[in-house]
Amino acid sequence: MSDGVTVVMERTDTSVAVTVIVCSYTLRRWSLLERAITSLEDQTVAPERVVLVTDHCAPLERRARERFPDVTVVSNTGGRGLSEARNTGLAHAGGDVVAFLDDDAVAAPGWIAALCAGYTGEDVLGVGGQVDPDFEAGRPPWFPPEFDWVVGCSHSGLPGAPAPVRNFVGANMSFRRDVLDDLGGFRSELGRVGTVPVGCEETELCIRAVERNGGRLVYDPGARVRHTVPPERASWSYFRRRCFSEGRSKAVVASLRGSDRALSDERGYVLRTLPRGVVDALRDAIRRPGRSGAAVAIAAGLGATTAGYLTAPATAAEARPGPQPGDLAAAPAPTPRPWRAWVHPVALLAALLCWASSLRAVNLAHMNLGLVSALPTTYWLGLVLLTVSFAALVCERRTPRWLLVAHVVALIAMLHATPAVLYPTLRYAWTWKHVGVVDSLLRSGHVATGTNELAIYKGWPGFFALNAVLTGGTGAGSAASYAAWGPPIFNLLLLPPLLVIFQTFSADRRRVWTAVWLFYLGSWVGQDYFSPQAYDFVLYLTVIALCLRWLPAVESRSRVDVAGIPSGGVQLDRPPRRQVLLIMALLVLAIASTHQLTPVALISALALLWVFRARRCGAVLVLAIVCTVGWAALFGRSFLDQNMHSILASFGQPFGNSEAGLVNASAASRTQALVAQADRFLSAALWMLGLVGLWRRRGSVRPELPLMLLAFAPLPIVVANNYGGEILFRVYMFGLPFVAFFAAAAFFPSAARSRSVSPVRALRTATALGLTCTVLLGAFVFAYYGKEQANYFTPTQVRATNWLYDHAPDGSLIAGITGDLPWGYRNGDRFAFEFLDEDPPELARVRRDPAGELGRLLASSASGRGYLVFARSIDVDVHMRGVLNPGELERIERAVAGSPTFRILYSNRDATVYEVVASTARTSTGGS
Amino acid sequence: MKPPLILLDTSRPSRRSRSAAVAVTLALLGWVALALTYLAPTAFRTFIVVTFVLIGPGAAITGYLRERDPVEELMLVLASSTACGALVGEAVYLAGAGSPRLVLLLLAALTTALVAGSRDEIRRGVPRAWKRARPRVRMAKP
Repeated sequence: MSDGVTVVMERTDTSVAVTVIVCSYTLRRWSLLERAITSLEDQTVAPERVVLVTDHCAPLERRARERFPDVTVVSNTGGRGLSEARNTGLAHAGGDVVAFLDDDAVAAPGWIAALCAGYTGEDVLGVGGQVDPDFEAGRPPWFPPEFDWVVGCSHSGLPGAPAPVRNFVGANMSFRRDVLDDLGGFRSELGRVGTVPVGCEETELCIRAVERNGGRLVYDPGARVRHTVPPERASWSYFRRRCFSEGRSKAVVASLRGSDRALSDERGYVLRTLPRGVVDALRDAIRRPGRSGAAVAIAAGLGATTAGYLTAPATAAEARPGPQPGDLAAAPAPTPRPWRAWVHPVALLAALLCWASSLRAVNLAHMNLGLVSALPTTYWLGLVLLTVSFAALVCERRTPRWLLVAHVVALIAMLHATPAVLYPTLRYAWTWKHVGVVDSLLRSGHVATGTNELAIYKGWPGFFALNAVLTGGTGAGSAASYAAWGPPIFNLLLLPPLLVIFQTFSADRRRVWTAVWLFYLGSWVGQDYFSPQAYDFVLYLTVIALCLRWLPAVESRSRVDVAGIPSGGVQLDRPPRRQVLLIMALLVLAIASTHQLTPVALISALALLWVFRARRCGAVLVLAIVCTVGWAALFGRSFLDQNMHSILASFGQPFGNSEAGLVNASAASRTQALVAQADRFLSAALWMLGLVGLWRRRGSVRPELPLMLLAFAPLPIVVANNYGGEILFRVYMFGLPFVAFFAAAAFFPSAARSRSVSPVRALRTATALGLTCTVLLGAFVFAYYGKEQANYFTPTQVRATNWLYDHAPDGSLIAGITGDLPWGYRNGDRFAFEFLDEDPPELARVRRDPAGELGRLLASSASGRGYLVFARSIDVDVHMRGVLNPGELERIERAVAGSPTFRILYSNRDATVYEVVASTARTSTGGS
Repeated sequence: MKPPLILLDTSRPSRRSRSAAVAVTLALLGWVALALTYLAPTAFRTFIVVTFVLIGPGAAITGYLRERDPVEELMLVLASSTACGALVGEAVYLAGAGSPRLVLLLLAALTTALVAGSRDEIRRGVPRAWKRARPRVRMAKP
């Protein structure tokens, strides 16, 4: 221990005993050190003990012993650096409070008295004061006071009276000694070594102190210290370097303490103090031209700091749950590997370039197998490049989060923005219909009452009302102007809730991001177009995420698993119950009033969580039931009344309901049978991976029970309805995020610290992940884009249907063999629609007597006007799904064309519109 | 002898107390969006209206919550903003008085009211329930 001399100086009447620690590393600052120690002898309240720590500098230690007999002089027993030196000093400290003074600083006579006065209550963990710069060569005119922290001083913009702060300036701070001992001192991976400024160790310590003890740190500007600034530190190059490394340090602190806390003060500093500094500097510059340099310096300093922050190699996110005092040594010092930092951004850029160049080479006429056959090799190359880059990135020890986000955004763009860029018209028949509902809402100003095919939307208009506001507010004229971008937008909106859910249950960054990736690869169902379902799915996941994050589990004993994740997930900062319920009520009501199926899935999910005591969500469950039933009873009545028969007929027939949507492989075309196989393969593969993940985590899967329940939660809705034949797809969709989370565990079963993974094993995992993702990606593009020939409408065809909607009188009946048309969007609420594939008995009659039956059907419309549409997309759809036997569609069209009951009203390359000539022989509206 | 008592704000250095500028911007954003609907459609109008509808009301709501994880906050802001838009829009359109302008007016008023309310929240300091939830270590008296 100490071999120096300890002298207890005289104590005044205060009851606080203070030890002052001064650290020095060089003889070159001897004169400054002398001034520092002397200033401690001149205090109005004398310190109990002064400890001088020399940082591996024997001559300095010898000389100090001789010169300062009253001071405890010790040598740093740890590694070189300020943090270790301070920790050594701490080991030799006594009394209640430990204060730190820099060796190049001079304390004002009332310094210690002011620090002591700051300890006003038990919850004051530390008191710090103001550090004024003492420029040896005078302050350079360009040096902005806002950046005085660059030279280790208090910058302008700090409170003018005692106030709680997040952290102190290292040159002037004090803490309760027991707090520091309890925390284990400063972290040695931070802090400057010699003249290499890494810094921020005091920031990290301050955040840690408050997090652990929940008290406050008080900044008292009355406790003053003057800090000497040598000319070389008042230079432009030091300013730039120091800003850059401060940014790096902040990134390290952010990864250790969570960016929220590490950067909370900086946000205010950047948003308020700096802009004010720029304004002041510019105002000064009018009088003194030299001052305009300060404005430039502020901008440059901010830029350098930001650059440092962004280029810092992030330490592993596994520090997130908050390291315990015991694992101080665990966090590694970041080792710079410059070339590696560029590999992934370059790969990402290359993938995007491949994608961009592939878009120019697509020929939409070559869609035998949807987009799959139309996309050039460069598109696939881009996807593979992105996948490989992601697989390697996620297995790296340190990954900047922005790079992971960029990869996921690129994946969403490449997978989902492609049609929006390529197609000159809106993709998918139902998008047109939904655009039509928004436009009609906008035009009429009220929810229309009607009984045609659009009636279902009138009872649940949330999504359409929201889009009417956006369309009308922006003056876009029609929702058609942006509806094509639905898939990329909705997939992006899913990212935050997915991350929140996954991060609640795993601190392993690799598993979280792999789960996100697998979710997007498995999401082939296609319910992400401009639709209430897509929007409600975002809200569904948000409510689930909030339930998991905010509501407590019923189990009171909190268990901790290997990764430090308490049983049932990390739950921090739970807001009061009243606020939780209000926000939940808002979201649940929006869900209930937007879509018919999602609220049922939500009730099912909440009920499971409640029954299995995974969350105390009884109140939210009651809310969901009341909102769903209440909304349906108040506003959905007319639709339910009309369709009660079919709803009741399908209720309680799970097997009939689940079979209804599966493609009839014997009737469908061979390519479509292949696409259906890709669907099934992809779904099965995800579930298999999920089971493998579950098995690999078998010992420690208990905390993840809520997510397991949620994977199965949508199953009960199969009992309720077949949902137009696609209930199984929806069940898969609602469960997919949770399946993906377990599928990711197949690659990263243990939440072990990634730094303990050997490079060979990491490489093996990355290879397995890359290969699996490539296979899944191939299946995804097949399953998602294999049907595009039916979802794409040529501009020529759209011209034909537009002409019809503009010229057909109100109350007309518009019919087609299938509904694969842009229908219901322009004046959609004024017509009735009849699509024969939805009415098998009617279709059978048409097949027996095409012209006669179609004539009868169309003449039965309210206005007596009926139109029959044949179009390229209907041909494709009929062929693809095997609605009719080969050649039968052509036979029907020939019969219609040859019948005196029909005449051609409009015809072009891709569509023909027939009008039924009624017996009353009204004149038609014209033709071409 | 007890050290002299210095009266300090008892709340933690709250991030929200520094968000006054943000709060005012939020409240103004809605009214600016509303005013812009009287002008011809421009990219600026589109930007302001879309920004307000997607984040305005939700950001006002999260002003009542203590600082959170940024991803969680983003999720909350987007979901609750659009939920407000959908519900207010529905109410207006179901009442047969539908016009995007009226919906924007109501949303702007709602946002302003929420922002005004949360300023109150800031003045009163951190609600007691949150303080209780914070773990505390009893410190020895100096």
